[in-house]
Amino acid sequence: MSSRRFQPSRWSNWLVPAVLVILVIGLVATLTLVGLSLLGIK
Amino acid sequence: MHYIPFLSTLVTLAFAAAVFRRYLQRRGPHLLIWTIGLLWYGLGTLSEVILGLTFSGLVLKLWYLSGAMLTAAWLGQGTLHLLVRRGRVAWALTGVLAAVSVLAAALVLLAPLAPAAASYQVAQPISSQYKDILTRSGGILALTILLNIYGTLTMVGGAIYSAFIFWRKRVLFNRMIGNILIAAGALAPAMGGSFIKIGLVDMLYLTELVGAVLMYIGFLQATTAQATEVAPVPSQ
Repeated sequence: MSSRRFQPSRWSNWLVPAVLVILVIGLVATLTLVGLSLLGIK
Repeated sequence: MHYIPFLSTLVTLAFAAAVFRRYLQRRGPHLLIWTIGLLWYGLGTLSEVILGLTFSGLVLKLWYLSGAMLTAAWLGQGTLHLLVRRGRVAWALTGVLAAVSVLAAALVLLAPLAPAAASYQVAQPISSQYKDILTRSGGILALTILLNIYGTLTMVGGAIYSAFIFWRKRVLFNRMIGNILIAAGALAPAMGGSFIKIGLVDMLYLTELVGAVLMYIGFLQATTAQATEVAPVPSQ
């Protein structure tokens, strides 16, 4: 892997983790809905 | 509404061509498997275009097979090859996925159509009508759900994981952004499938287009040389 590093700006210090958390929530929600289908609940 | 699948097909096929071109240059198996996944994606949206013009039982089955069963799983399989390089785990799982895909194709292509096919309306999205037309056995339903769980988890989860690693190490800013876009793009049609379950059938076409565009931009971002505006930090 390249060692090309970056220094996060002030906005990306909170925005990137927030976006990652939102994506994880979206992933969990989607998998939950699909899982409920598997159980025949939804 | 019917022009959206047409746009999705154009974007997806251009995306597949870009990924395959990179495969010819780099030869990574993940690129070839992503190309296969994107061709399934494009076949699904192309089927929507055709079903917006006329009804065909075969096209309906291809739409279900490609869009609902195989796209997410094959895209996720490409991500698995990218992330799991130890031993032959990824190739073994690819063999399993190929076998399951053949089984899924046989089950769907042999599934009977219901009499409701005669009252198919081209003006309505296929996502609002397929349940009444395509007879889905327990095996088809189980495979659909399992393939979607596997594909969503590997594709979206893999992209989130990659983005997190780049963020934590503070390296390759463009790849971090690219993976965030890929995760969001892969999540969009997966959520579109969930929208169908809660009755929002019109949302599927839009989420497919948004997903294809976001993933394509994410791929271009991740494979572009490091942007100069990102402040470089000296290596340790």
